[in-house]
Amino acid sequence: MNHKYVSPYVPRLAELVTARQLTSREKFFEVRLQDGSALGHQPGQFVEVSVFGVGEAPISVSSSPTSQGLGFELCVRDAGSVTHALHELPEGSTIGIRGPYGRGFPLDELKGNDLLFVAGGLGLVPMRSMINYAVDNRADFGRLTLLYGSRTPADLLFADETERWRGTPDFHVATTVDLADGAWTGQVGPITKLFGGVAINPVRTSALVVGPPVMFRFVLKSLLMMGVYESRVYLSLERRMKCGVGKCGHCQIDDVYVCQKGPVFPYTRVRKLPEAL
Amino acid sequence: MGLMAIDKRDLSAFIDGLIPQWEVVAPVPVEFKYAFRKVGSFQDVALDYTNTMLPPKKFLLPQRDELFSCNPEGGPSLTPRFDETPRVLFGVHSCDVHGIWLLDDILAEGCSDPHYLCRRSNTLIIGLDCKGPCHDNAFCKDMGTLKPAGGFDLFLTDLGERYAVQVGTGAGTALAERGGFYMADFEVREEFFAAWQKKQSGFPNRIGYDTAALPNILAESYDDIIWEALEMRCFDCGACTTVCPTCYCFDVLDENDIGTDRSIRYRRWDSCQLQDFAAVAGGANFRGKRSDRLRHRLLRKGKYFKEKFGRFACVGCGRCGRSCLLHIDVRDVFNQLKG
Repeated sequence: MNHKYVSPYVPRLAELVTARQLTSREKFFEVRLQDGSALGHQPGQFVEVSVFGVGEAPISVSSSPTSQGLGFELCVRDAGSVTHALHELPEGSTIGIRGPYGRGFPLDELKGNDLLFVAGGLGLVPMRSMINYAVDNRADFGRLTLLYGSRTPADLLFADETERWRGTPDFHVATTVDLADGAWTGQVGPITKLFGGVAINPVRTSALVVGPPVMFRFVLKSLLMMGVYESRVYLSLERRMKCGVGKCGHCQIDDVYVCQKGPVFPYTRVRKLPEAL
Repeated sequence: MGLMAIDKRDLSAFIDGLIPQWEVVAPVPVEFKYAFRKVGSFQDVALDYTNTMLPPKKFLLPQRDELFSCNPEGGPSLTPRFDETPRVLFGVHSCDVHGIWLLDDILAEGCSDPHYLCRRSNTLIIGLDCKGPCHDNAFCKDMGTLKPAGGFDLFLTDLGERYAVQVGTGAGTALAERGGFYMADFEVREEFFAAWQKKQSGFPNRIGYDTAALPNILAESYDDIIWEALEMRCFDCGACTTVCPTCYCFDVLDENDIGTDRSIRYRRWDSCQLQDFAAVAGGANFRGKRSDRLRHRLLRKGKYFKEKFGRFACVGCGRCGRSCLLHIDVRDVFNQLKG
């Protein structure tokens, strides 16, 4: 085949190096591209993961580009046909990877600012990429704060890592769950409950928000109430990014393809898109 | 580009002369309607056809389009699929030429789509002027698609004894060198101009205002209650998008070849009007309301693409209105919004 055309729909082959159950619904994967190259992603970007014979689904990259590993990491909930098949694959299996796609967090704009990470549920997965980037480039950022809300204590992701972040200089971590069990001694309630306990300097803070759609309005309100500038609030929007290259139409919000202009948007842009929130 | 002519009696030999080298696709009668099909001879072509059920888009962006095959042996090995069939689309009306011309822009823009572009670069388009309104609900004149402005290689206009032939590309020039064609003289040019004037006056305007205002009208109608009113007449069947010459949204799926472990990744037409189009596996549906889906389609047709490419993503062919079970007609909606 000596085609002059290269199809953006044909993935690169990759190996599932490790597959580890994280919670009852989420599995953690270490992935390495077969050609040995680095993924070359930015925090907040996503890849299209192929399970051959089943299909393809968009998945956020969870590792930071600064991480020392040979590959990159994904954390995937068993939610649809492709993710279910991915959960069933044994370590060493070959999958397909396209991307990275989309625009991640605006690293240059964030530099020098205090960062307030607000993650709801699976939102911690892409946020982890950005958090570890900030931790690995600690001198580039001011105060770090993570507010993380989860359904139950058993759904909390990356518990070890959350502890490690807590031990990082000038990094404040607060978590809450919607439904507590007997052993839980922490906060209970929606993520907005955590805002009362954080001290931020609003004019120096960039807020990064990733979470389920229901979370955004409440979190935005809290952020703006605290005095954070609208132009410094960034949201990562979940959509069905089927093709990843701005063609298939599924991820469109009004006239914007999320896979091209997002998934991370400044709130000032989202505000002008009625379908966004 | 230039204007040429071909005598009617020479057209048959020209088209039949293409058939050994190209797959020639043209309108043919199918029951009481017309469809673009591969033809074996010029005799099969319905020159006086009214608009086909499906636009010729299906030969550039087929309903099922195989992207690559996967063979688990060898690691697995993935083989992209490109359709390089040399093809001629003959007899394409101006509205459908406009549709293809828009797809050309859309699918080349940004990350270009090589599966479309490969077919497109192996496809020659020979248009044919329609003579009058094909249907009561066609509003091509309002959408500015009465005559082609790009996206064709040759375009024929019936002048009685001969056709005037607009040459749109170098490939069109090469086609015209195959014989039968001659440079348009003064008489042909006069007749061509007269035919154009006659065509213009023969088509009524069916939108009550200049469509240049449409993007603004739609922008102001974003929260209009009309979408909820239309919703009551919509079954979200997706017929409107299936017959649209400019709709290109697709889903991507795998199909297994039972018994061999091989699989094919293909895409197939999808529709923003279907309930789950914007739903994600986690359960959220970002356009779960039918009224929002209707608004989205109409804004794509009359606003978004006009702002991005300078041309409407509606060519006024009227197919969607004709295929709609409850007669939701883009033209009526456009009129209703401004009326």
